[in-house]
Amino acid sequence: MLLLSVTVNLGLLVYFKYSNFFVENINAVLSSVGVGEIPWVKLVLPIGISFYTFETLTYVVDVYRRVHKPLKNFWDYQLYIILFPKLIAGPIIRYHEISDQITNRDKYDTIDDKLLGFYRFIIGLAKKVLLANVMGQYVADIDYFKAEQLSSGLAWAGALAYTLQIYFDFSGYSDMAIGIGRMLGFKFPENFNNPYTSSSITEFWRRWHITLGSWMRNYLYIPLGGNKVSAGRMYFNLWLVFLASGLWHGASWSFIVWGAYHGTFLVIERLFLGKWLEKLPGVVSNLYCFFIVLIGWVFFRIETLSEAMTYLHRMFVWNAGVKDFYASRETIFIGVLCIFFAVIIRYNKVMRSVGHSIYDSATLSFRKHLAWTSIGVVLFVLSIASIAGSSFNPFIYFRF
Amino acid sequence: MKTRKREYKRFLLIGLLALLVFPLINKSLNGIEVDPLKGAQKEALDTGFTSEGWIGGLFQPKREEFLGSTFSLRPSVIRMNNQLRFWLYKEAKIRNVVVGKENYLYESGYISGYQGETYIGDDLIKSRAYKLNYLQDTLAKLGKQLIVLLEPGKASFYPEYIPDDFKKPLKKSNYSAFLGYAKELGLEVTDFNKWFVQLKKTEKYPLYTKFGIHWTEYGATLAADSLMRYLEVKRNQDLHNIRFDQVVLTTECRGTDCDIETAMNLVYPLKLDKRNAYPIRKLTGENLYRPNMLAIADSYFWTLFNMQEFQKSMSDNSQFWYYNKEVNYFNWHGQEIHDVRMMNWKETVLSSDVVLVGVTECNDWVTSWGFIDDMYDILNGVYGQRITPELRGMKIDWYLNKMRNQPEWLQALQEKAKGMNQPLDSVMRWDAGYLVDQEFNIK
Repeated sequence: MLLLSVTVNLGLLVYFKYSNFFVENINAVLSSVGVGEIPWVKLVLPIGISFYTFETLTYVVDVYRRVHKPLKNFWDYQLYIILFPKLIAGPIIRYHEISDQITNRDKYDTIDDKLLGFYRFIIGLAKKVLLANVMGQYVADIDYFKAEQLSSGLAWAGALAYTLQIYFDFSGYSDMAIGIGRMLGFKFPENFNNPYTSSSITEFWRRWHITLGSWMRNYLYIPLGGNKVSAGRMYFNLWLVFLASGLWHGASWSFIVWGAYHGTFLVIERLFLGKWLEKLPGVVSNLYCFFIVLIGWVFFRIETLSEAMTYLHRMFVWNAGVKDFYASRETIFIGVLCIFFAVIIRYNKVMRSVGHSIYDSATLSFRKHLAWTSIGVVLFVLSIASIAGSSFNPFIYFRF
Repeated sequence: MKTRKREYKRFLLIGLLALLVFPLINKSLNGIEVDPLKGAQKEALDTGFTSEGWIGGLFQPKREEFLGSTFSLRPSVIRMNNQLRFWLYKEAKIRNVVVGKENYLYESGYISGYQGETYIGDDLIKSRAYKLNYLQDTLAKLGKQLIVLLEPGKASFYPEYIPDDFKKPLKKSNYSAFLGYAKELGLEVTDFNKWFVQLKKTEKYPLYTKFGIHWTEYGATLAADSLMRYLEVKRNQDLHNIRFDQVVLTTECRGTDCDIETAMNLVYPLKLDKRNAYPIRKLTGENLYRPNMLAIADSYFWTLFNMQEFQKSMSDNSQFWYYNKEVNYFNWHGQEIHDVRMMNWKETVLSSDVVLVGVTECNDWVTSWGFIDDMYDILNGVYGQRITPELRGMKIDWYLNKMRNQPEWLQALQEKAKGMNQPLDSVMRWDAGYLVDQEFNIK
């Protein structure tokens, strides 16, 4: 039964998400040797399939392992899978993390939870609209030019902007999902924990897309043997898991290379680099990690490997390029804010405690609620203003 | 105590939820209304739900666009966004607008034009100058004037306020190149761009405001009077003149004097630091010659067109073809045609005393949006080679409509069809096609 369920679920994911990729590559090989291509109609990817497939797998595996009893009601199962806040972009919620809440949400169904959920949602919305979208627009503007036209400065600026965009975009969505979930009485697991303040890639993956890392550890790495195998086998398993993580993100060689890139650094850190990093000042190791992650995002963002390599060449071999560095006041202002919230905040005690009151608290005093309500209203109005404003770009007079 | 605090928190939650649904309630109950936004933008339409839209994947984006552009209090929210962006980034949230030093506002096209970034090349400029010269000479032989009016540009007038981000070294521009070729060919040009820059040093009142695209009412008054005096010399006729003995000085904007600032849709409008002058105009002379003018120009000409005194000094049949697309009558008395494509161009030009072609350094440089090339080809009898099937079809349809709505004409066609033993519709189409071909000299 387990085998059948895993095969069907994974089979559907592989079919819809990876068939196009596999057929394209097979056809590339076949045409290079002069053999005819396999005829294929490209499939459309069902939205959210990567996320809910992993969740259906956790259900069958957790039930199989007797971690938790199965649900008695078909509609409870549907609630678990199709729960809308997390359906399309996570967090990936393992069955046993939420199983009790499906049938009984009294524990997280308080006024405090609803309010805290609301604040969390607003913070996520603000991260996405006020920060990520601005960085994203800058990246899109740079994308307009070919990599070989960019100056080195602009190439670095683009990579940095994307690093910030992807964090605030993804963590923003997670905050919104967790916030709405909390308003509905669900306690979803955290998905991000200031990943850009990490001192090593090992630490980065404990802070970035935490639920994916947790899934991979429990349902792939441990079944492959985990730490309980020979060193060589362990390093291979680790690397393989990250290869799979890369592939999970998308069906292209760039994603696979990105996964392998991270896997390689994880292995290297386990071998010797981790010990060196522990001896370095926090800021230095933080910079190392940020730099490695930033380079990795180049593969993640750019669709083909060859373009990614061209882009990296631009970054590391000085070139004035055709298109010189530029950045609007807005890009610079928001970029500085992003760096503050992504990195510096961890080193600031006051900001840490402010974050703790939203992310970790079960209740707040009324005064704190008032403060957060005020902040929430301001952020909400700013976000709506930004969304509405982005669609309003008139001419002064009607133009033919 | 605990219960009371819980109640307070409950009210807080209800308040937040009410905030979320407030725009919907406000719209449903026609509650608070706010001033609409200024500026020109295509309106999103409510296309409704259709199976084609659903299957084609268009329903959701169109519906979102419609809801996003019509939610209650949207203008207030957008004004707030615009204000914040102006305060933080000195940015105007309108297309093609640049905020200069000391908040002088420009359309970016003027800066690009002034700095030579939009230079179209020697060959094109020369060809345009040549065609204009041909038109000027041809019309002069027919006793008509072609005025080539180089309207002033704000970037040429106020280069000192162009922001440093936008400043580039000056290169050859369409304007400077055109003047060179015009001089070579002997093409007479009315250069208000140069004149205004000269006036800047001596005129007491602003010829441009900080916040407008175009010349001020005061600048337009000087321009209008100057044009009329020029026409007096050229037509050897006594025209009306525009006089003003008084001006009203105010920091409030009238007309189009602050059109950029108005379209910025700010919460706190920008204020002028210099007073604008609004002349109290009067037209001199009675029963004087009123030339028939055809003006093909851009939005600068609106200030002249809307100036009562200027309108009255031109004949009632005068027309203003805005961007060579939209027909505006100096004296509208029920004329039907508003699309330039439907006009008989040759007939309109040849029945005018004065053809004015106006352009600025920002706009489609000296083609007047196709007018010059088209008129050149029409007067040379070669336009028929360029007329598109679409335009021919539109003109035929226009004639057919006219035939159906003019009883006498329709009756004549019915008799003709009877005489030829042909269906009425076929005869109508033949005749309509013939009229179009005549207009464009198509053989």
